[in-house]
Amino acid sequence: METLSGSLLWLVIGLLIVYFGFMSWLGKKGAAHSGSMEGFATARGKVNPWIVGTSFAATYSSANLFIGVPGLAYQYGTSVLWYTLGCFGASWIGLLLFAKTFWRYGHRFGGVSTLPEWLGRRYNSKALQVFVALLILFNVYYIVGQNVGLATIFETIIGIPYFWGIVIGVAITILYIGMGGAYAQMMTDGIQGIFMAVTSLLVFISLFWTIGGGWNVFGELSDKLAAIDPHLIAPLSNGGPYNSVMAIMAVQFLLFSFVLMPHLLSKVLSIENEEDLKPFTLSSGITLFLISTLMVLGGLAARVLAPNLEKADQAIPVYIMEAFPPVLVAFIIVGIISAILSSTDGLYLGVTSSIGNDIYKPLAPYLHRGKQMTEKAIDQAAVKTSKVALVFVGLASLYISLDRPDSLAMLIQFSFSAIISGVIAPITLGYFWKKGNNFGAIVGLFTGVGLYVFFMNYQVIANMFIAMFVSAVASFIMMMMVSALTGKEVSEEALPAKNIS
Amino acid sequence: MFMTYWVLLGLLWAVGLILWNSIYSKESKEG
Repeated sequence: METLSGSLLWLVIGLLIVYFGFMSWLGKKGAAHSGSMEGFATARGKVNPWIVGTSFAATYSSANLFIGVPGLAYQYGTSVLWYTLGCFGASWIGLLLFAKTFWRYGHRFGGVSTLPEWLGRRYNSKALQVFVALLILFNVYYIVGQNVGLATIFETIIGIPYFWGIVIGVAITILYIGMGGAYAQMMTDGIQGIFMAVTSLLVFISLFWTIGGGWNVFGELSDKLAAIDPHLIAPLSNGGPYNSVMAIMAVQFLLFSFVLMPHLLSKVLSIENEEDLKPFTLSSGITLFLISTLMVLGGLAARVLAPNLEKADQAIPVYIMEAFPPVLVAFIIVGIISAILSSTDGLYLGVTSSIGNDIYKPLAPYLHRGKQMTEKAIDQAAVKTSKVALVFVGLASLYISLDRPDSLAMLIQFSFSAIISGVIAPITLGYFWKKGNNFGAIVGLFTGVGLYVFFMNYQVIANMFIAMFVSAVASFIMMMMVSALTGKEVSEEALPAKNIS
Repeated sequence: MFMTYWVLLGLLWAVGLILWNSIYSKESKEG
């Protein structure tokens, strides 16, 4: 597999230098808004809701959707379309249903900055806040997945060795997030989202010449895939993750609840006025549609063009080099890198905001016993903690990335499934059920995560989506039972308007 | 499979827009 050479290589490198320079400039601009924890974590009211919406979709769509899932499509065929269908459909509908109530509660609590803080206020439990924040550390694996995707692109297309690809990716991201926090994250995502949407459209359009057949391009694609292997056009795959109706239903459940991922749902907290939720949610929907439903088709086409690739994750890089003239290849490479960076920066921000806001801040009174610290001083120290944590999380992800994992999609899906299994019951019941209390929420959290990890580690349930579904159901049941048994209702009036330490 | 894909996507757009309009328009109540 040839890397780029000559003028194209320099064009790509030039574009990337300009691109990274611009991200850093946005980082610097964001520094003005990242002095407080609220500013660092959410930049509330500082970014146009249309851009927050694009940022939501861009963060959602990562190396998973741009490389991993097309790679799965390359390997297993059209059954993978059930996944991308859910990425737009189930996830957008999930966002529409969850966003308003989540925002209203956040507003009622006097402004929260993160998901763990939201849960902590809702159940009046600092312990819950800390536990959820610790759970979010699982996202380091999600970050590792992104690092691998980026390094693979650099290696496949530019010829940069894997190790240096990882280092570059980690360094750039922690630089602009460290400087600019949520403001930088959302502004860079706004631009990255546009690149990604255009990239997806280009890949879609390219099918008309790589596969051919005029208006019957999809009929043509079906025929060509069937000629390689009839299983590739079956609605259920032969082996792989989408091999049964139950697995596909479980995937839809995952994608519906995916919006509860802390680094995504907390974008709702960046919205200052309730009426801005309207453009925010529409913008998310449009961008999600463009980004998530079209890129996968490139993976299917890649199987026709290059049926014998060593690794399925090479499908998209190989495809774009075959399908496009050099200038567009350069543009699309930046589009793919955007997909990766826009998720990675959201993940770093989510993990480190939680370290500062949800682990350091609640524990600060104990850590600084004997020292009188004002609320403002603690807030400042929390922001500093977040920024320092950024470096450590970056180094941790670098270390884990060096042992190159086999399937990007599987690694990423494991990490977020574990988190969702834990938080789905406390969040959902937090909306509808007044009887939910802190004991129930904590037990629900541990049940969901514990069961999921158990199922995956001991292969009790082979399919990770079904394992997630079962763990989530068990979590709901345990939370409801424990809340009912341990009694007191957390009534609406009792919920504190502002957190009193 | 591709026909199914496009049809379902169209349906999802329709459902999404209906929900969006009813939940996020100014007059909507607590929901």
